[in-house]
Amino acid sequence: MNILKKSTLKSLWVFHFALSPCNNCDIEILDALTPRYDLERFGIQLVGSIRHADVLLVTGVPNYKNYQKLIDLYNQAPKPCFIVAVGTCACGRGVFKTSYNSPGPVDQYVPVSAYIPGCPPKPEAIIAGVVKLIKALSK
Amino acid sequence: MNIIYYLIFPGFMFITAFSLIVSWLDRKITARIQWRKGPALLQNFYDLFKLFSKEILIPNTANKTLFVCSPIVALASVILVATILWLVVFMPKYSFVGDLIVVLYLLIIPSTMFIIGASSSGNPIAALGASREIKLMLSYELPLICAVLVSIIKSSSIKLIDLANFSAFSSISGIIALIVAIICFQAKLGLVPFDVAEAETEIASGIFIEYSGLLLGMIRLTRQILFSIAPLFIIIVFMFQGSWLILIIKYVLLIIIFTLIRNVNPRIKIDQIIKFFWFIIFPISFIAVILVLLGS
Repeated sequence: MNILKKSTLKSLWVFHFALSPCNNCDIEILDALTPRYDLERFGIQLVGSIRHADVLLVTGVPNYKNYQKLIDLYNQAPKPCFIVAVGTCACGRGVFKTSYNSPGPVDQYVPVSAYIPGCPPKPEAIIAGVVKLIKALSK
Repeated sequence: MNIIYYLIFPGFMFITAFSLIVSWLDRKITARIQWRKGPALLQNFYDLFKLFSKEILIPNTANKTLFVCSPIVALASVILVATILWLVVFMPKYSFVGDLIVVLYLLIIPSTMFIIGASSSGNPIAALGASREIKLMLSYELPLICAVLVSIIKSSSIKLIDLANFSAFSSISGIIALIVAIICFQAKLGLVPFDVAEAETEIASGIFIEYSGLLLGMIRLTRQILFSIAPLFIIIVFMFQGSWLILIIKYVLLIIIFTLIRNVNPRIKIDQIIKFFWFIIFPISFIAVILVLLGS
């Protein structure tokens, strides 16, 4: 493994995008970033701008108002940018599958690299999902 | 020979590795204060290499030349400051008349370049950050000059090596000037409580919002080098006395002070910052100048 790829995997900067969810997944994501779980030891940190990000954490169900924003945000990110769908809604829309105001799941609009199901997933599950992403990318 | 000094030993290569380690120390202390384990020793190297391997995006609305040039100029000037300061430590004969003035001027250039880069990016949030950075510069520059003036009057010279040999720290005015300089450098480095210009939770990285890839890496490197030379500048100007061991202890202590101030304070608003610097810090530094003129 060359050094540039290794350093990419050792410092994943996360940008958090909420597609109007019920906020439980967002609270769990913030929980995972607190000192108790200490994601900085893996080099993961939350950044304020999509231009700085390597990972886009998506929560919630796309609706007609914001699915275009999701596509725009992915196009604004410098590549390589990996998308992680957090929560059942982002993975496959869950109970909103037949909802009248949702045009489709997240992976219909942008390529998703990892799915973390759960309603909401625990911080441990989010960390396990990120570790699986890193393992898959390092092959 | 000068190009070797600039690029290899006290310059680019050495200062890059050194400043990344110093910033790791800062992050590690922060982590320990928050009762965490903290990042790995090479974390800042990983961050830098990752940013170098990423795509560079330039917004359509940006003035491309200014947007690309400003981080380069900022990095070049801050490396020059680092070279001059480390040469004073390692090879005192390279200190020239007026190098203090050169260093003070070059220390302003990174902030100025960040303002120019942010303004040229065409992003309204970056413009907000740029206006805050201008106000921040207007607040801290004058007290900093006054604090350095104390040392200049005491040693009656503008050569860094004379200031280093004199050590202004041994008097009341010197101690006041040292405290003022530490607070001013806290603002100059853009650390909490004076980080209004980037304020991640509030204006989403502010002045750096549009930078990505290599350019962001250069900005981060500039700030980390600035963080590693701020204690060095303070030591040379105020308290360059004692053996190598004592100097290293002083350096680490100053870094711990910066990190502690950063960790125990909340971010304050820009109007509070201006009031703090103009009506509290500047009169204190002015009193220090008067005290040194009276001879204490």
